[in-house]
Amino acid sequence: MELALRIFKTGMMAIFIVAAINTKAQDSSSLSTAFSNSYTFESKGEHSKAIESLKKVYDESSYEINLRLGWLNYQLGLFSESVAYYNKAISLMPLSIEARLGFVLPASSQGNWEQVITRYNEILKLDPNHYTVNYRMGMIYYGRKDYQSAFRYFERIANFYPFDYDALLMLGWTNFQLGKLREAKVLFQKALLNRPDDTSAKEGLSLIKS
Amino acid sequence: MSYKPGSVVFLICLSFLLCGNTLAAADYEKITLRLYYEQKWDSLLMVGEEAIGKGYDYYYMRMRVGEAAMYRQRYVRAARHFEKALEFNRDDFAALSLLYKSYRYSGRYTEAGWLLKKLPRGEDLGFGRSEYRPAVYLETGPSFSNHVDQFEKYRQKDPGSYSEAYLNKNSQYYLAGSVIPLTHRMNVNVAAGLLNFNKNRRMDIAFVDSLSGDYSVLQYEAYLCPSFSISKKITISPAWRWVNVNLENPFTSTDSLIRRFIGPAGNTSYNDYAAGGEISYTAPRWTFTAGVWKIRVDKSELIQYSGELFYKPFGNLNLYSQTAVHYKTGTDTANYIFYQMVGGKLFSNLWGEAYVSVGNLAGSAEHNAQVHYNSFDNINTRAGSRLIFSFSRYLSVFVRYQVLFREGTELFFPFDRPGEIFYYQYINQSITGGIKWNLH
Repeated sequence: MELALRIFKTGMMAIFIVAAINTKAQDSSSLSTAFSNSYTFESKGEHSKAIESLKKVYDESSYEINLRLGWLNYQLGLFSESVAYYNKAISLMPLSIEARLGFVLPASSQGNWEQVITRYNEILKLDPNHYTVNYRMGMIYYGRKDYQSAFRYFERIANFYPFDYDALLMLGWTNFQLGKLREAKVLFQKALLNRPDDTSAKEGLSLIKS
Repeated sequence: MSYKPGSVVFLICLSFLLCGNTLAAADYEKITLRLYYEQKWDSLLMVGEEAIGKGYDYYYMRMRVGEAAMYRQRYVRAARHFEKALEFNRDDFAALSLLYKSYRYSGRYTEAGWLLKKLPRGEDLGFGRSEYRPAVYLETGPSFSNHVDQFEKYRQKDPGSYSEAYLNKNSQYYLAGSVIPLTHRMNVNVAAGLLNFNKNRRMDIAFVDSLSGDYSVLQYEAYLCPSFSISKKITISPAWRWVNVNLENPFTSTDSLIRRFIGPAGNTSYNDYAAGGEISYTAPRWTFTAGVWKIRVDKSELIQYSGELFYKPFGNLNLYSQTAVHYKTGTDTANYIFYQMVGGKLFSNLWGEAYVSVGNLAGSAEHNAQVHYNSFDNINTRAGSRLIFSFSRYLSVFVRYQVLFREGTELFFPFDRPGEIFYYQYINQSITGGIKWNLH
């Protein structure tokens, strides 16, 4: 009798374990399917359907789902929703640079440049030499005619990537705006070595000569 | 802007649509953008503010809704949206310039002044330029009095030994001044004035002589008022007014007895002044001002305390009011003065104001000592109106009609009792015209 009870208990436990593994596999499978479907719909430009497929398996604590929903909502033009999903992703993975780079897409589309600058500064704290962020920060300050601040960012990437066309060109223009014509001339000439027919670098040189 | 029936139908339909409460960000974005391009400002205000309330709050939404509020002349609301837009995009020129306009059009000049330093000078496209240039103002006009007629009507008819009265006749007034901006936080108001009062002196000495002589009282006035805004909300404005009074004695006599009555011959001169200042706190729809001044009129000195509230119920200058309570106290006098003004836009470029004050104005100062009532006769009530026509942002003219209900005096000595001062009523009416030109 005791043996029969032990066999029954063991059998029940085995059934539970198998069921749990099966459920987990099913979850993993449905998540995988949802992501797969979302990519398929996205490639067809059907962003609403892509979002729907992910929302069926939505888990608030999933960094991956929130990040992906942030991107898809941004693609659909739902910037406020996109911002909310990216914010959730950042709170789940506080050191995530990719979520912050995603966040700035809808935020800049809404014209919320202070939020963009805040996120970029957070990234620069994590990775001070991040090429894209330094370049974009330089562009923001250049657009605001704050050439001294722009110089700081362009100079940094030009030091790390001394023959990078974008860094050379923008550092050239920033020097030009700051009245450092000799430095600007050298930088425009280097940019022309990278892209020999570049109109912007040529324009810069012609302005210095005239 | 005129309302069209189509707009009303559209608004009603929109209300039903919004009742469904199913709009998403893209819908709000789409609708507000379309309303913006179609310039349906009322609808845009309604939908946009609902979107913001639901969390669809971003730079472009705030800018659209802010502009809609501005076109509907809701400048306080517009300013709130532009302030928020600047939180999203700190140095944005469009938001800065529209916020500057919203502040100006709602009469929040101090806040506008503080914003001015953020506006790029080279590209300001005219915004704020007037704040860096002096404004010149000129005023002049005659004043008419029925004092002589009223005196003849109400003078003491009983037999007496002595009677004396100083009667006001017509007068003229000239004023020239300038408000000179020194920085975006400081300006100075300087002015000079000339007042010419034509008067008549009467004196009857029983059984001796009966005298009547015309003379004039000339007043030279100077005014100085620097104004400092110590924050976006608070402005301090000390003020000084100096008045030099010159009067002549119209009577001369070779008789030594009569000379004792009529006083010394020739001209007399003395100085009056008002010195003090105001402190103002400005909120979006109102400004409260408190002030204190020391005032000297001939030989008497007074202290005046004032509290004023300037209120714009709609946050613009289409309707406004000013309420003031003054309290002045001296060695032998103390009284309250209550002042109420209501003004508003009558037509596209025409503003009208009407005002009344109750309480003796004699010896008091008004509008931070820009006006100083240093006459002897009591002014118990005053009423007036002003029309202001604005040709452009830089040039405006005004015409003002004012009536003062005054109290004339007669020093009279009856035969059978001691002398006393007798009072009677008369009125002064003045018509003043002026011009204000912002040099640019």
